[in-house]
Amino acid sequence: MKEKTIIGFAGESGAGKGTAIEYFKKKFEALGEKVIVSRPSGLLAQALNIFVDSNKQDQQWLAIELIKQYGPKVITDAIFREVDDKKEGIFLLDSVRTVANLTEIKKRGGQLIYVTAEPEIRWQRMRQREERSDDNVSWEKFQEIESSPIEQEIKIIKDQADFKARNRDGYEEFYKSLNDIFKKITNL
Amino acid sequence: MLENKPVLAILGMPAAGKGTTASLIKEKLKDKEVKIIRFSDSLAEALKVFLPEIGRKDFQWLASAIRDRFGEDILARAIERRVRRDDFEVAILDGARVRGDEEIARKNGWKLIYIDAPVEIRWERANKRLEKSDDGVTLEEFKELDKGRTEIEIQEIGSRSDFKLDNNGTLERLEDQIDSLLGQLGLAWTL
Repeated sequence: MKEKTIIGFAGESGAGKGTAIEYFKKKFEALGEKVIVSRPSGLLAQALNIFVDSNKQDQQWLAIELIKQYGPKVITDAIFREVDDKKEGIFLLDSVRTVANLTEIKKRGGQLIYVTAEPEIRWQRMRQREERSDDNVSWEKFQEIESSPIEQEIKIIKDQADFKARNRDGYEEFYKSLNDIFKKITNL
Repeated sequence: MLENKPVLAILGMPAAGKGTTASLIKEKLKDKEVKIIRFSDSLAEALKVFLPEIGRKDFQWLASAIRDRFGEDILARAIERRVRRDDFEVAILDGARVRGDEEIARKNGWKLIYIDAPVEIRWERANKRLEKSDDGVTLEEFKELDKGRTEIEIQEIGSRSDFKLDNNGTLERLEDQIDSLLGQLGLAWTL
């Protein structure tokens, strides 16, 4: 395998990006690879935990302050700098949300996996997990979020993804399609 | 914290000789693993996560933002975390300046060491080093800067410090006092 492997994960809210990343992480680690999962919240926590045991609200606060001071790209630039600074490893980048980010991944020879599921399924799932304050929303509110510009851009990214994993028929089917993608990426 | 590693918190007015004192202590304790921790270290560490290059403005921005959210003593609390986390035998903290820093020092049993020097001598030193933006001002301006909120607070904390070193003469005189200080703390033998 080449020295550096970059895989971005995109998908609608509640589609199962986190599950897909965990799956890939375990698979790569089983091959003895060093896996680095990179996500904005990870960097924000890294900076904040120098000072306090930070929580989600603190991370949101810092993200807003950083963007106010340094512009909208400051956090993703930091993620790609981390990738560029390391000589080797498997980089799993969570929540690719913009075409600009996808371009950065492609520039570095990376690939994109798009995780998708029907809106009704995702809405149900989000209501169950409630890990974020904005997860437990009404169906109307959910549809409103779905039509926001960010979610719209994610759909553009979908068309440019190298792989798509559908997550609607239970974990078994989902893992099976993730495993197929894993085999293609690793040529195993 | 179970183990109590000695932590010496140095404070003093601008150009009093804090950095010199910290270096001298480190030199004299060269058999021990001594770590000099500056109050701005935590800011630098956090800024490096996001910025390829860090300047004075970035420090000011983060210091002010993080104090607004987490309190005036947040830099001292960051040091508290680092003291617990890092391996060292003696830590020297350079640049305690607000009452919150003092409270955290007291809570943890850190020793407060105030470096004192008359304003005229400090002004001369500042003019020689010219490393900070305030280092090229007239004596009158320098005296005026001493009346700032932070400077007043430094002097107040200084009056309650555990040790006071007079840095108004030669380096040798300062060294003698440091030797005596380290002896009293049981960190070195005095001759």
